[in-house]
Amino acid sequence: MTSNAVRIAEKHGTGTAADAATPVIEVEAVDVAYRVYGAAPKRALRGVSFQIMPGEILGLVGESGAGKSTLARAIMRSLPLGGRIERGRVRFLGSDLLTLDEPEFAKRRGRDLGMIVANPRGDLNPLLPIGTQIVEVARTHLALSHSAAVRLVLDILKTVAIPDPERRFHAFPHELSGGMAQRVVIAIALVCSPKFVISDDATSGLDVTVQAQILSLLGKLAREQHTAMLYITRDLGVAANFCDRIAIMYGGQIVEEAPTNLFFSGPEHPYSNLLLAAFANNPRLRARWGAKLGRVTPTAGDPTCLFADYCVKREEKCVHAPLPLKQRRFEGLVRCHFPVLR
Amino acid sequence: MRLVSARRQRNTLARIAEFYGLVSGGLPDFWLALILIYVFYNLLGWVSSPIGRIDVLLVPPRTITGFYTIDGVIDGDWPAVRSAFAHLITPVLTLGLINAGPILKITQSAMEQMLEADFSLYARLCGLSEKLIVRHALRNALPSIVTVVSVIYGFLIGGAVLVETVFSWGGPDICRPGRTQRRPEPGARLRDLLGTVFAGRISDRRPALSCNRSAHS
Repeated sequence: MTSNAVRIAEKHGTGTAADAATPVIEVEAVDVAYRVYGAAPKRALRGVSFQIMPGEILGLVGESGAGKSTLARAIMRSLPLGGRIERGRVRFLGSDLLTLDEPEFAKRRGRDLGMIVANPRGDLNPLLPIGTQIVEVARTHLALSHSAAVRLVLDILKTVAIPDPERRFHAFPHELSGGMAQRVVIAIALVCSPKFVISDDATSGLDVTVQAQILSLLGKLAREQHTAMLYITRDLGVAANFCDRIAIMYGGQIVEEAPTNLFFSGPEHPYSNLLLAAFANNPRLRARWGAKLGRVTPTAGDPTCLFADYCVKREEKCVHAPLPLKQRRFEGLVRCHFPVLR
Repeated sequence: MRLVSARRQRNTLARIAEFYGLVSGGLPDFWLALILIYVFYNLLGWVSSPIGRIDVLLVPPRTITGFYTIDGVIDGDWPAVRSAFAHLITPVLTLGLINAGPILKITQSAMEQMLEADFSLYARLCGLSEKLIVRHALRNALPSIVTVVSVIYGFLIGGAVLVETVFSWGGPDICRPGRTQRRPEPGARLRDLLGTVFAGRISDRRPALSCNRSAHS
């Protein structure tokens, strides 16, 4: 971890080593379960832990239903109805976020923790001009007069590369294209200069050129403002180009976590390999890692491997023995008894 | 009360509001009128007698607009104004209590929907205050509320016959049972017709006004 922090600090050139050594966000062994009527609670997150340094971008990759968005909403403490954080801690610059009472936490949403959402046109209020919406967020969190807030908002609209901000300020969400609306949502997330930003699948709805623009914009902002970012995506390709570290999620667990270059030069978890094979568009590679072996009932209870049903490298131990997180060969962690070593 | 009931689904106030919405939809208005007369006139004596629009001993003010209250104010006939208002209380209460039910119901459901909508959840994620979120939700719920209000307005004019009968008012209708021989003033009918049409027009336009969206499309 220390070497990682130093690497980040070197990469961005600014900030002292001590500054970089304090993680912005620390997630420790977070469990989330959804209560289901008349059945056992459904566990959506199992012991998720990670930390993100200032200016660092952590890419969280996984298939649909892996718990990526649940994790984002758990950090924002806005889980859908029935969802509850059962265990674990979330710390922001050292202070515990989960023990804060609701009004106290509401002040942090949007100010310290920004969130970029995936469906900007549905999430913006259809009846308000976008400028007003950004001004409202700014004035809620920063003690600003109306005119100062308007100036700030025009500034931020310029920063997120919206052409002709004075005119767009009065535009309604339905008058904007998807890319523009996405920029507006980014502007809302960044207007209070938060220390930590979650981007939940923010660019998946956009076409590739716009996606590239938005990513470079986000990267630039992360570097310039020293913002830590959790970048949630299903697209390994995007994550490879954009993120400093990659965390692979499967079944509510982080199964592998490593710096981007080390991850892509040697993914150790069989699921990571399957995921990469799926992106490689090579049927032989996919056939090699993909297997449907049939359901097995774990005997050791919770900490056995969740991927065992589909794993080509499955052995007796995977189903029955508790599974700890192990060190990867060079750096990072992997949750597998038989990591793939090349 | 409506807003609160939408916000907190299961507290007592919401229960009361829900029950009220149900009951007001089920009660016949002329019956409620009789009950109100019995309680507030016969038992408590708080309101004036339910006969006519003004005290029988008073001379109604000159007809200018047709509203006794307004005509009285124009004429400076204060006893008439006071009496006219006193005679308004129970009928208005009857119609108001009955017709507030559907409006309450529709407001509640529209607000519930809007507070669950994506933009409300997003506003919460941005840390906006609950007050602001409710205000935005209300504005988004407005079109359906206005629609219901305009429909009810039409009903209020046409459907108040029985209540008017109970309070011995001279209503604007010609088809009142047993009263067909009395010819109402055509002007009153025209006024009511125009009023209903106008309310309909407003309700057609109002979503457009509150949305801004239709204005552009």
